[in-house]
Amino acid sequence: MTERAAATAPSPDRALAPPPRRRDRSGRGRRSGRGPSLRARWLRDRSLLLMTLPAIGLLAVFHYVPTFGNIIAFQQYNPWDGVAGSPWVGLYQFERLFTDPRFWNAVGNTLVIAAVQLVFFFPVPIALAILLDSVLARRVRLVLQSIVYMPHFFSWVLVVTLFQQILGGAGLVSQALRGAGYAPLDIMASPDAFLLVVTSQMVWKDAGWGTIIFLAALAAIDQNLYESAAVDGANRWRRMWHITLPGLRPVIVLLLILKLGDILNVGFEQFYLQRDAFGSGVSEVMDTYVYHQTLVTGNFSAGAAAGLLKGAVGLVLILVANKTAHLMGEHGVYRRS
Amino acid sequence: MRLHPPIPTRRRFLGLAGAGALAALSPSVLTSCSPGEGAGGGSAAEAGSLDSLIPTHIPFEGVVPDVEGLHGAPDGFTSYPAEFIRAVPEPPGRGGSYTAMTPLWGPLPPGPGNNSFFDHVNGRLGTTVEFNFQDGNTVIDKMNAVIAGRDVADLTMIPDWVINLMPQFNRAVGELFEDLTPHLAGDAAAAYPLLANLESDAWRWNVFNDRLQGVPWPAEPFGNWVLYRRDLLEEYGLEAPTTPDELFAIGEEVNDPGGDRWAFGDFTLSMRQVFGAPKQWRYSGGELTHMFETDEWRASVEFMRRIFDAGLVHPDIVALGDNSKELLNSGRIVFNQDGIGAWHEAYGQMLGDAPDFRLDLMPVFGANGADPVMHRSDPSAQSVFVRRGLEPEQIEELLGVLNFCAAPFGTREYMDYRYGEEGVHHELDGDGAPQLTDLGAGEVNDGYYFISGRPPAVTESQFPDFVEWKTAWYNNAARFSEEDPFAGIRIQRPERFAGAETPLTDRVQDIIRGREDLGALDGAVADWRRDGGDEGREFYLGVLQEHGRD
Repeated sequence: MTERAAATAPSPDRALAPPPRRRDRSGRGRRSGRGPSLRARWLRDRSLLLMTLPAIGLLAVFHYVPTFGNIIAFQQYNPWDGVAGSPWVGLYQFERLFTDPRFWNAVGNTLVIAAVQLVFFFPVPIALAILLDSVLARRVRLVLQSIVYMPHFFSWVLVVTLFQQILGGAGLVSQALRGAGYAPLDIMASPDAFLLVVTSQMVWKDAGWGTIIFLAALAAIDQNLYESAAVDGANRWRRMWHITLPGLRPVIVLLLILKLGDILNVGFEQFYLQRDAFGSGVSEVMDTYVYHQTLVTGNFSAGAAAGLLKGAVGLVLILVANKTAHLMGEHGVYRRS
Repeated sequence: MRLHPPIPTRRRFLGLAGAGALAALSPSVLTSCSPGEGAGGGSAAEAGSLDSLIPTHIPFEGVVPDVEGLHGAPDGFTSYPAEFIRAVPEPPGRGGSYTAMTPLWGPLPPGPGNNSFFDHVNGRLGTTVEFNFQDGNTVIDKMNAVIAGRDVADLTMIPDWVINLMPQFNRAVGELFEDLTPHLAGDAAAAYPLLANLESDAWRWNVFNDRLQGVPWPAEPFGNWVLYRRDLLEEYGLEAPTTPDELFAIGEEVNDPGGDRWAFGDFTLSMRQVFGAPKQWRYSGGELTHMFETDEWRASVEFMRRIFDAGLVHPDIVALGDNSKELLNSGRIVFNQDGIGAWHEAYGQMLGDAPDFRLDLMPVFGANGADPVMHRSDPSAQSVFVRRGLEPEQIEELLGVLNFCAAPFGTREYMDYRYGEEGVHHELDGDGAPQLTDLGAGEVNDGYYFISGRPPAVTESQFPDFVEWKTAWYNNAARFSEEDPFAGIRIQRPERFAGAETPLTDRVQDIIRGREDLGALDGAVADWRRDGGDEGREFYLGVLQEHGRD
């Protein structure tokens, strides 16, 4: 899945940079016309450029070079003959994908899950970050933050097991219901509850972790703005609407764009683990499809084709979203200069 | 639209692959499948005629078993011998130093230099074997890289299921690994009496492209079966079931969700055998019928649906299915299918705290008055290969090492490579059985155990009644072994045939778990036939013809 590297090359860490301040914008006027020559800029920035070398090296070796491996999507690859010796088959692997109803089922499930994530998961870290930010006692905030970060470090096996132990047919809740003479819960193995369950698992596991970037952005908002607004008589809600959310907007847009590029990557383990419980009809996503098509039958090329397709779709989505952001006056993934 | 791949997908390797017969199947396979073979007459050959390539079987006179294995079942030993037999009088090594690569399931032991167990066994061998262990759980990824990178150790152990998943392994094997035929075929093996003691079927399984390439690891004949809590059934005053209906009735009687006890785990594979479905293909009247097309398989699916519908299966099994061992050991379920090895593992964990804990294998029974059809495992569970390009004397030294590590239960050598030095790595308890010391528990590992095979035997006499019950079950079950039309032939499944299976098994899960009606089975099987099943049938018919078994 190396093509993802190309699609999401700007690492999310960049979002940590504070939103550009006003004087940048005034600076643009000064640079209008011919700025310093390229050579002069190289010379001026050489130490900064030097510092980026390790990161560029890392990207090149682990992201860009492996991207060339996608070439096997046009072969009938086998590891013994290698890329050089495997026969070329043109678009055969793609034809096969497109005529497989299970592939479309996987694509459909992936899109539904991604859409639900976008609507029900994406806003949660924002809300949580604003809530955490409003806790004034530093110590309490630190404790709360640590608690909400923690599930991010649990493996999916653990998360799924935990949900099963609590909400499953033999879990805490069901056994309590049975004890009281009621019918047990039936959500951990019911296809109808699938979206609810997997989204809850995601929120529980990763919402806290997702707050980090937003908290950093919140910290960069000028506190004086709040004070002057309060003086002008703005209440809590108006301050949030007119100061906090606009302050977060560049970061929200940036993450939204990155999320769109990643939209076909809803995950593997979470769905693989719960495949038998909910059935492949609802739980087969692109990554599990690739797994069953390739590793189980040893057909690496089919997997590469599906992965390449996923990457291409992601790239298009990123470009479209970024363009839209620019049209709406946002910075998007990169600034236009 | 029906797609035909432009390149051969019917890659496979056969124990004895006549190039002419291959050409008859698919001309384009010729170049990719058996390099170096002349366009011979494609004479029909069956596993029996591989005999000129494998060692002459010379049984080793070791400790006499307490329970003799019948119909291919393993022997049983109800106690450790008072005196261990010395099977290899002189250290086989000549002071050489070799690397060995094997998967390991469990924590890594301390490496050479820090591990007195390695020093001890290497001393006994007269050869230094240095292990490179791979995580057993990811061994398929590693082996693909190792084979593709042509970077093998002097000795390389590969589990059989990994061999089956590696594309083009039939080509890699001849280029990377030494042809052992000149060293072991026929009477040459007499120089390695403990290797000559291994079963012929297991040796045949290690013939690739007309060459003996690997040293086998003979497997117990059956892999999985239903284990049940014999102690709990006795508490209920119930006898073990002898028909599917009795099994169902017992399930209903012990099922008590309110009391946190369910009757069953998932035992789909065992029920196929109870209802008499073939392991893969049934051959009769010139026709091949796949398991999925038989009424017997359908009956097993219906039965599984019945027990799911009745709520007899634990909800954790329905949802996750990976904690069934714990559920059985803690009595939250009473019947569960597992690897047969789970039995003594459970005893090792449980008997210390719960001396009355008892498991047993569910008796073998058929449905509707018919006999069951027991599916046998392939004869060799893993293979050990010698790197190509070693000098003949080095190969002989290594075969001497493998001969040492093939020493069966009851020999001094077996104790050495499995439990280390007495008094250092293990002590013998009152019954003469080894108990690892603290040092042994930290250092002893399965490295030497994995680089060579030995006849399987039931030896866990430290557990009450275990050897008696298990051998009795085996000797009974082996009577009902399936007549597999492809027995002894190594076949790599055609890609489309293999690929069609997951969609069908997904649907079957949907049906068994009540997400789809039983009526959906016909459509699912029809899809399977269209998407690769029928193609597989033609392919397998070709294999039968090629081997003169049609």
